[in-house]
Amino acid sequence: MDTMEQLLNVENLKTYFKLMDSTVMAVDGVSFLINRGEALGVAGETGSGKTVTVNSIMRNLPLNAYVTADAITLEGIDLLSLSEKQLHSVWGKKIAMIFQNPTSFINPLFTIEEQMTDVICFHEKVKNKQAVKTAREMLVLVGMPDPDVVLKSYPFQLSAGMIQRIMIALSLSCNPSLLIADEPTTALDVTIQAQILKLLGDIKAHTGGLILITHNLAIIKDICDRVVIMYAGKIVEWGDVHQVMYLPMHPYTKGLLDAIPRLNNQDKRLRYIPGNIPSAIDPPSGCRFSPRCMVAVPICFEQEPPMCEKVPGHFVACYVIRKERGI
Amino acid sequence: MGMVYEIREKSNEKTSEHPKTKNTVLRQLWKNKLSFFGLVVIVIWFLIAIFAPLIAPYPEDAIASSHIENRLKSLSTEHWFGTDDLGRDVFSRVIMGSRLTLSVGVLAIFITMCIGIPLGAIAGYFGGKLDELVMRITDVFLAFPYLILAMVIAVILKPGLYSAMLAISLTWWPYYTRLVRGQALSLRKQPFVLAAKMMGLSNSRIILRHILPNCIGPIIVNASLDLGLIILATASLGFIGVGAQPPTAEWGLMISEGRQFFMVAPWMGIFPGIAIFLTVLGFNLLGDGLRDILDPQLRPR
Amino acid sequence: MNVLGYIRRRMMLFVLVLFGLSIITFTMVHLMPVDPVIMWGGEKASPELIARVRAEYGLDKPLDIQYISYIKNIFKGNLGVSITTHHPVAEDIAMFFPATLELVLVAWLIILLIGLPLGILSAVKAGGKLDNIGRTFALGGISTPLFWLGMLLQILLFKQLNLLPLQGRISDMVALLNPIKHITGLDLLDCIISGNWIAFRSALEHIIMPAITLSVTGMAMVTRMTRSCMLEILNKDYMIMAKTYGLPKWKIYFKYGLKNALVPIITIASMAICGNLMGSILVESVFDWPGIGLYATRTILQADFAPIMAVVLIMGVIYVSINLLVDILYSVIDKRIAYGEEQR
Repeated sequence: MDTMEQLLNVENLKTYFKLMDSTVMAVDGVSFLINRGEALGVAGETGSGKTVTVNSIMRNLPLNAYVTADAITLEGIDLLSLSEKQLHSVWGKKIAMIFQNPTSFINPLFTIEEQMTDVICFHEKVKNKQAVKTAREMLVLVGMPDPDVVLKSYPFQLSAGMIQRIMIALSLSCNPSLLIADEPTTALDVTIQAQILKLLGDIKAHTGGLILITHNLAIIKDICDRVVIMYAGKIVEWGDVHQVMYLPMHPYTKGLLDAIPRLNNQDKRLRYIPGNIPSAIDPPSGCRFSPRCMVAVPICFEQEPPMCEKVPGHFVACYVIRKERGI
Repeated sequence: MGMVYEIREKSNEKTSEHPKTKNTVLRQLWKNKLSFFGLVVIVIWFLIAIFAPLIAPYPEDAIASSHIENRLKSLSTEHWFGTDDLGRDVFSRVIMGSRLTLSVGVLAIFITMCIGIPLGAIAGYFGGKLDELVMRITDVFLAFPYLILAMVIAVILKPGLYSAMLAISLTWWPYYTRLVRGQALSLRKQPFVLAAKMMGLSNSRIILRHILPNCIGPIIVNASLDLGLIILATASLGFIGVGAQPPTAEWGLMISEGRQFFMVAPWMGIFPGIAIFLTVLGFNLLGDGLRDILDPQLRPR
Repeated sequence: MNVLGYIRRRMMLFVLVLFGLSIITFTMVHLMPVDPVIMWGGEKASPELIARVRAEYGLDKPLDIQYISYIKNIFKGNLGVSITTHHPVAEDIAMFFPATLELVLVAWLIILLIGLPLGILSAVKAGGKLDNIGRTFALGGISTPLFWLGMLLQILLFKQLNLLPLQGRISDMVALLNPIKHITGLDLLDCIISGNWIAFRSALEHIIMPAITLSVTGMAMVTRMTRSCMLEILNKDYMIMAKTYGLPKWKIYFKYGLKNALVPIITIASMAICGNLMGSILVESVFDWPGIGLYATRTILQADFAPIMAVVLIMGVIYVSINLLVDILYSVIDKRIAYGEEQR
């Protein structure tokens, strides 16, 4: 039982998209929770359902998407039951999101100042002058040089790294309880990546909670307290970040960690997980990972393994581990 | 020139992902009911044009003939669309006129493409001063409203149906030049073009085998939409009097003649107009459908 | 960002294109199948007379000198003389142009006031009933020949229902009894200014059919284009961003969406007015509307070419000027344009 305050609780989230002649089960029964002051990493390949999961929490999905869940609560508010109008007051104020490609997510025709003050004025209900001050403070907070110049600039005059900082500043400007960062550094150079990640790590203190989505496991270790590993719309393993990363239990997690190239790797070849992610329209029966798993046993192909707590705070869904641990 | 934001509802100079085979295109057209309907309409018109002398009860009325005693008669079983001021059967003239409309339309777009596409390919591929020159010339041509430019050219060439056709081609080529030039410009920096150059392929080879095939998609979409516009333009020139000349059974000319008698014999002008409408509609529907298939990023969902 | 610098560069391009325009019109004048001197002299004129007239008008000089005097003449306002009206073309055009302007503007207003909202609504409610009906009508609209539509309206509203007058700009009786005081040349406006309501009513009755005819095709195109542009913008990432930061819907649409849409809308509006200008040639023919389109078509059929060449030149200049204006407007709204030019 957690003694810390629960920030976000997601239970049995399922999201599917209706296409013309088929249905894509993008997220198929995902549950997790975040406590106040925690950073949760969500890792997985492209197509594992990470982005769809957070978009489902945000309810920012296209019209052909259907979301069901036993519960999605943020600070006790049931997000599923909110009307569109109510959602608008939650977005930005309670949850803020940073996206992958910063340059396309900012409006090219308005100055930074205009865009930031619009959000601040709306949520904080302050006058323009005050909003400009807040915007400037936020820019300083994210380490932006020459904040006054930046405020008056247009997006095309700034680099992608700067814009991502601006997005982070914008997210923080309304003091959200939850900050979601969806692959915030994927579109940036490696050097800028490091800066932004450090920023996110520093920022953790300012927000209630952080969800960091990425396919790059290395960065999760630095910032996150806990990590969720997703595969084909399901969570296969989750728990304390050090436990999962150093003592992974699920074969997929092990494969992912093995695949990280290391300088001191004795082998000449890169390690990889053979095969491809399964179809989201017609997933395999049993464990989703079974077709690619090296250690799969017959039951893996027949029944989906349930999630169980092997070690306190460390959950995994795998039959093979159960066997190893004699359960 | 100038119009930085080109909204001709065409592609954003991206290469098409992979060439769609004829079968996939047809199958996707079938799925889109409206554009398939357009295709059907066009096929019907082509069939009508081919078999016109057999369909029209009085095919000679389309050329030179007059039956003054029969003039301005209303719709009847012998004359489904009535007769005109010279007693000619309007139905036959409309049917026979389809031959002119379709052949002129197809020829016009063919000539347009023959002028416009090579110019555009050369301009875009070679770039530099050549490109500048071609683009300036294109800009100047596009600075005129095409109808009035076509009027003047048709008069210079001596008014007639084929002068009109040539005139329209001479005003229309810039659109294709711009289209192809845009594609060529973005394609020539692509690795596969550089690779071809390294292999020693001649420039004309590269243009023919690598650049042009990638432009086919937008070209086809534009061509089918333009056919409709060209037919309208030809009819407009016929209406004004610098296109087809009497006694040709060209639809635009027929409407102009019908206008003078609209009080007593409205059918003279109405039916040719319906014919134009149906033909152009067919091409527009087809063009829309093709654009959805070949330029999916523009599909209005 | 040097917006002024961009404007300066753009003006130079403008002048260049005008130059190109004049060369083309000049070439066309000289390609005309009729020798103006022979037209002037008639068939009976003797060769010596012809040669003398030619020399007198400088028609035997080399082409480049002729071109220079052509340009000089244009700047002096000398566009030739019309054989049919026996007036200087410039005078004729001054007389006919306001009518075309009025028709084009009224049709343009109709197009924008109906087409733009319809297109925006179609995009916002994409896939809905309104959208489908609108798209069907739009498709029909662009497939209809203008001149045929005009005739149909005349048959319906004049012949069958006798609601509206057949042609012309104002009824003769009214012109006689309640003449309009010409201030701007735009009859409707002049009537309002001088309070001449009888003439206003007549002018209105006369302009309805031509304006509607002219606006149909334009409205169809504007609706379609606005719809597709709006759809593109509504799906852009930065609009999603505005939504996810909780900004209210009205603000997203009317502040952000609108400004982003403003650029394509300006393009659409300018294309609509250019299309109207071109379509007016046909519509004026159908309705005997005394504008430069009618002037050009009537004279060209009489082998009188000076008027049409002047009209071609004027329309070209108008087109190019509208383009210039539009580009300048763009650079003010979207600073990237001025910036992009500098980068090159």
